[in-house]
Amino acid sequence: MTLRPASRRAQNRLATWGVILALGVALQVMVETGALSRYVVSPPTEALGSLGELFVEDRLAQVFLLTLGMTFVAAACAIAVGVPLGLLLARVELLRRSFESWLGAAFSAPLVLLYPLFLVILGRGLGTLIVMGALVGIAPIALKTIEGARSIPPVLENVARSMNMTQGQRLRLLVIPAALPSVFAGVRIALIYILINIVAIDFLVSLGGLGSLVAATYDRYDMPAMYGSILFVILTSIAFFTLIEAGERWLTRR
Amino acid sequence: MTALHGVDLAVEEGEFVAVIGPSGCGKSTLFSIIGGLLDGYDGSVEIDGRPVVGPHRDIGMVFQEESTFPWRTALENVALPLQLAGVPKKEREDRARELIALVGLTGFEDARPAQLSGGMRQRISIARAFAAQPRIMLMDEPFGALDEQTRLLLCDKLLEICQAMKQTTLLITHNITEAVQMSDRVVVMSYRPGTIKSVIDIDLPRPRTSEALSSAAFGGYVGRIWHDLREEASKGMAAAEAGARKARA
Repeated sequence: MTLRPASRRAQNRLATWGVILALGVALQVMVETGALSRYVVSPPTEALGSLGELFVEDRLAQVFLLTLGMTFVAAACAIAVGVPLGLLLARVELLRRSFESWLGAAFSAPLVLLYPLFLVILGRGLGTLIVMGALVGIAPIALKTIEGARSIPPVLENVARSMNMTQGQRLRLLVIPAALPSVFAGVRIALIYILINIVAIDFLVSLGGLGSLVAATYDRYDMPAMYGSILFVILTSIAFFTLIEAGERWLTRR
Repeated sequence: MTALHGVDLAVEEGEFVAVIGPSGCGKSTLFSIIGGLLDGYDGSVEIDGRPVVGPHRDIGMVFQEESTFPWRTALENVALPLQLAGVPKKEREDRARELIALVGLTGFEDARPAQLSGGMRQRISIARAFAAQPRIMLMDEPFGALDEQTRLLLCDKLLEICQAMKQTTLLITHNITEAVQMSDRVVVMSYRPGTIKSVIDIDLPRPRTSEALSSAAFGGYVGRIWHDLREEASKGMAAAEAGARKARA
């Protein structure tokens, strides 16, 4: 029997949540039986129970929206720089050969360590978060844009040439649509990197987002709330990833 | 390596000419030169006595490989040349619908290429080439990737359209049946460097369909072309085998 893609997706999702639930139950049992210290690990039920408190007392909704907003602004900046940069490098062979490996290096470098520099340049504000976020997003987006723009089948290039497309028409009607699935893959990677960096820097310098909240609960040694906020960050990442995937499927349906 | 040598070919208005030759005889090079996709050759391509350099609006091209844009619907694919020409949306969609009907794909206007079979996708490519209303249709083995039955049916469809539109067509092919079924003249090319070995006029009645395949005259033309082609095809096969042996050594 063959499953339709939608049923297969639902089955995969069910398996994923089943494993997560099983791990949660195992963790709960280990804490309850004393195999793991309650002072080190909070039982999942208490971490989940703290979410209500976090929403009321720590304004989790506002904190979340701030982080989400920063992530989107940083992603928009990364797309605005990364896509044209990728298209340029894909078009100009000399530039691509000169800089593609640099971009690869920038992608794998721990750029988060540059945060003190940007704190000095931009001050301790949301601008630093946006710039640091955008900075880590540019490389994957540019690299995947190059990949997409360079993998256009030669016959489609010949169709464009046979129709006398101008450079602008070629870019708009051929290169960008052909590269779109690859660009999306880059944006998906970038968004996760951006979110991680923004939360990490916020954790270090407390600018009022989800990172600050984790740091605050850690500082006041509120274990359930700390684990609750970490859980919320993880759930946010998963939701993010799922939403991007859905958007990608919709925009690149072919 | 010289791909083509001394190729001198004139096609009259409304004529259907097939160029046939063994693999490696430079058929696709000839296609690219006439279509303006290749430069750096000696000689010239002329339309009405005027030299043509680069792709030209008078020449429509249909490629051997899958060439529809996968992100566009069938309608959007066919309407592409009209979009490039700045034709208003409503007008170009109406024209694209007519062409889709002409290639027998009414009802598939909103389908994306991935939802269509290879033969249907190639019909969309043909409709797209007709959309630009070129004076000359240039086709490079448009049915090469299709099974024999689909190919015969699509040849019928293309013949019907070309005959109705009196479309000047130059077909590059390696299929003898296809060449005889469609053409007024068949140009047989030699193996590398490709030269014109013979030109055979096909004097079969028009309008023509694949029914003509069963006639004695059809068989006669096929035999004559194969007679001219056999030696060249043998050379091509020997060269391919020599290449493979060299690669293995």
